[in-house]
Amino acid sequence: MVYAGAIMVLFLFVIMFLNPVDLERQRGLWWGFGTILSLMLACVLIPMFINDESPADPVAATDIFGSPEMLAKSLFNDFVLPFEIASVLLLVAIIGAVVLAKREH
Amino acid sequence: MVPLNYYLILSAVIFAIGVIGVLIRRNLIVVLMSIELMLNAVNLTFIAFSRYLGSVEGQVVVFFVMAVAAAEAVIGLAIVISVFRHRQSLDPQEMQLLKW
Repeated sequence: MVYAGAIMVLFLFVIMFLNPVDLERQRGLWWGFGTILSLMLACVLIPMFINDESPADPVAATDIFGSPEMLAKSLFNDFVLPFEIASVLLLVAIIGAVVLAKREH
Repeated sequence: MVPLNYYLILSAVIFAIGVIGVLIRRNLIVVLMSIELMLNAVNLTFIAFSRYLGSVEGQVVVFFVMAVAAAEAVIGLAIVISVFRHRQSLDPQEMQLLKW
C-alpha cells in the first residue's frame, strides 16, 4: 500500500510538473509492429489459458505463514546479502535522482 | 479459495497490457507506467506461488522487486524531467542522439 501510494504520487507529480500537451501522435508502423508482437504473445498465452488440468491442492496455510516473523526470519537469514544490496541500490537511486533532476545553471 | 490458475491468468493479462503499453504508446511517462504494471504482474505471480507452495521466499523476493521498481521509477522519472527540460517533448522517437 505504501509502495503503491508512493509510486502513484510520484507519477502524478511528474505529470503535473511537466504538463505535456501535444503528445500521442500514433504511427501506423508502430501500430502494426505492436499488433504483430501482441499476437505472438497471445499465441504463447492462450494455450496456457485453455489448459484446464487442475493443479494439485495447495499447501494448507498455517497460522504463522506470511506472518511478519516468518518473513523477517527468511529476510535476515537467507537474504541478507540481497537486502544490503537493495539498500545500496536505493541510496544510489536517491542520489542519482537528485543529481539528474537538479536544475543546472 | 481461489485456484492458482486464476491468479496466473490475471497476472498474464496484466503483463500483456504492460507489454502492449510499452510497445505502442508514444509517451515516456506512460511507458514507465507500463513497466511498473509488468513488474507488479510478476509480483502477483510470485505471491500466488508463494501461497500455493507454502514457501515464504516468494514474498521476500517481492520485497526486492519492489525496491528495484521504486529505484527504477525514481531514476526513470528524473531522466524524463531532464529530457523534457532539454527538448520540450516526451516522444521516445525523437531521442536519437545516440543513433548511428
